[in-house]
Amino acid sequence: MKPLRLLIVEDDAKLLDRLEALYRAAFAVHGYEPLIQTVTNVADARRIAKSARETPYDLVSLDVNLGDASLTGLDVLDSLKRFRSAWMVALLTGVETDTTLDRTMGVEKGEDLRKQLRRHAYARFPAERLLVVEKPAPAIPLGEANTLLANRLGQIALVYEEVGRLRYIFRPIDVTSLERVPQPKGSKAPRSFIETTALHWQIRFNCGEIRTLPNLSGFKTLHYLLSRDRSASVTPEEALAIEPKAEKTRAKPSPEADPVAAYFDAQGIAWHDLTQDEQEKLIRAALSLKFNRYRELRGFQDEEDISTSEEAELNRIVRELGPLAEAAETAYQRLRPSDRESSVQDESATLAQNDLHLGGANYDTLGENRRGKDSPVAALFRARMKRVKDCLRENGFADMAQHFEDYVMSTGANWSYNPPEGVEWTT
Amino acid sequence: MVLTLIPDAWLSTPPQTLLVGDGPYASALAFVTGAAILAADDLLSGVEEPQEGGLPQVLGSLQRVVFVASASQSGADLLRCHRALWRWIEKLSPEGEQHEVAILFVLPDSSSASLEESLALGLGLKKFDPASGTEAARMGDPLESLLAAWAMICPTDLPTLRARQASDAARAALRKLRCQGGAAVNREAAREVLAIFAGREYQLDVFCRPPSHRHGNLLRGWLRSVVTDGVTPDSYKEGCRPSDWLVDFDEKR
Repeated sequence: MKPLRLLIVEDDAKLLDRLEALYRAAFAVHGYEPLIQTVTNVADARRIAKSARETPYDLVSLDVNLGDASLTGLDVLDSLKRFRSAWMVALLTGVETDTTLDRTMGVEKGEDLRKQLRRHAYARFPAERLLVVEKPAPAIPLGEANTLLANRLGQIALVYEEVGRLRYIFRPIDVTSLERVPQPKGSKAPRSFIETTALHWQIRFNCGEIRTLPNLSGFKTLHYLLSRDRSASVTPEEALAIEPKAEKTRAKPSPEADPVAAYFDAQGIAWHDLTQDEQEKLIRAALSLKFNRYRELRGFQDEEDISTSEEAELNRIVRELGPLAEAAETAYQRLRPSDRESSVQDESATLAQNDLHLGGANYDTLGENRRGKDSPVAALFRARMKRVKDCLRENGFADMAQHFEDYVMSTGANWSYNPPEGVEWTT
Repeated sequence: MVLTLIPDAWLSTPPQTLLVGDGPYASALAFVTGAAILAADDLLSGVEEPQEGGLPQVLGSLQRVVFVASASQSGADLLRCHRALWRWIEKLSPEGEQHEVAILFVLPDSSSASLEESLALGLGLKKFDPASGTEAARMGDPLESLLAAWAMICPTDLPTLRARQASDAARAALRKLRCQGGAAVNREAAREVLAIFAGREYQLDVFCRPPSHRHGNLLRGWLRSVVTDGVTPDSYKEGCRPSDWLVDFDEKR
């Protein structure tokens, strides 16, 4: 049996017992053994949500109306999102009894409370990981209500299992390795990020205005999962495996021995798991990330026309480059043009010539005639997507399926990358 | 209004305790407690985003905030500072509005008990209570008792404060007044407000936009005209509404 951390937030003690038993039964069908924790009030639920950042729950079953005059399950949802303490949330509503909601959500008379609740819930938690499920109405006899509840929790377990297979897509993306592009003061242009080592792999996740890129480990996880057989079950835990099993067994030399390895390890990149070619490309990519600015500032320094803030920035870049600073300086000396006013085109050409341009060499391996066609792996990926969406729609989560589709369209469907040796895939 | 730059010292040593205030008492208290100090005007100005973009999350470890009130500050002024503080925390703490902080108001000895009551009312409290996340003390209190009171405060976050305020009857009545209903609806809402604030109408100031006292006077006049005289006052005819004077309670909800 696979473990599953489940938090149930419910103020009704009788219902809590029923939920606990029904969740156990529902997840047992899919081979899970839930480790259940229960909470009965908003304050405790929020406290737990805040403290579970390091050990997030796989699923939180959250009642909306928790008997508090002012705080509701929606406030708990806020905390779960902010502290990333839940992978998936099943929001249990009983709209006809949720009298506090209209007050806390500021719902006007006559407004559709169900619609309002969904809008508020989706505004608080990523829609592709949020299930809004109605509890059986109190008027329904207990036996019938139990059956209904069991069915609904069964649907939750099924969706969890299906969406969990694609959990790697929604894993938190580490953006610490990205740099924000400076923008002129007062500019209303959307913020973007300088693309770093991830561009080397040409993976692009475009989530609205913020462009984020997964790190290399994320890419490897993705690649590992996509190469698996469709019929094989993938648990969320497996989906979060950073390295394929074969690579896990490889002995890892101590990073202290190699400052370059330590530098990349600190950024979450498993340096010693890369091939030598990959390592070289990564160094070039990391260098070129900051190289243009380094080169500019070093130019000012050489001309003795550098301001204090620019000098501080240069020092910061040198610090950040760490063991790569020496290589940057060598490249600067080599590339130092006699004429500083050379055109941007010339500059790019020089960089590309010296193999410092981001991802410059990657396009070489991509045949033009392959563009626009799905490889077998891509087809497999799409098939899995379809299966998840169908599962959601069949189980009455059409709106979630739509959110899911939109989300994937904005991320996976725009992929265009060159995978590692042995796998070719372009969409 | 010129925005305030994040003090350089905060970048190297993120503050755990922040003292908001000016004057010798504030400086001395900051020195004794090792708190970072920020003038009330700077707090109200808002935080300036660095040119290179991105706000450093320097308030991530903030645990306590002390507002040292000056004799010239009214309850409405202090509550404005309180709202401004949360805007800083929302921007400068990775936990945003979920960041928990203990807040202490240190009031001048010369201030009346009504200031304390107004402050408590503005925060959705009947009276100050350490369990609510906010406490009040006087400048004349011995340092030991001040620090003891400080240590007793349970940190709370902004959603808790908002929820408490939302369930407050005074706010609920004023919210109705803000709604642009017909004259009859307004008259009913006005009656309710006057009933809640009977004998302490001065406290309406804390719910008014700056200049709070002037707007409070306009509101009191309007309420009296509508309820006592039973006629629509001139200001109402001219298009003035309580919503012009009252703060927006639903600003962030």
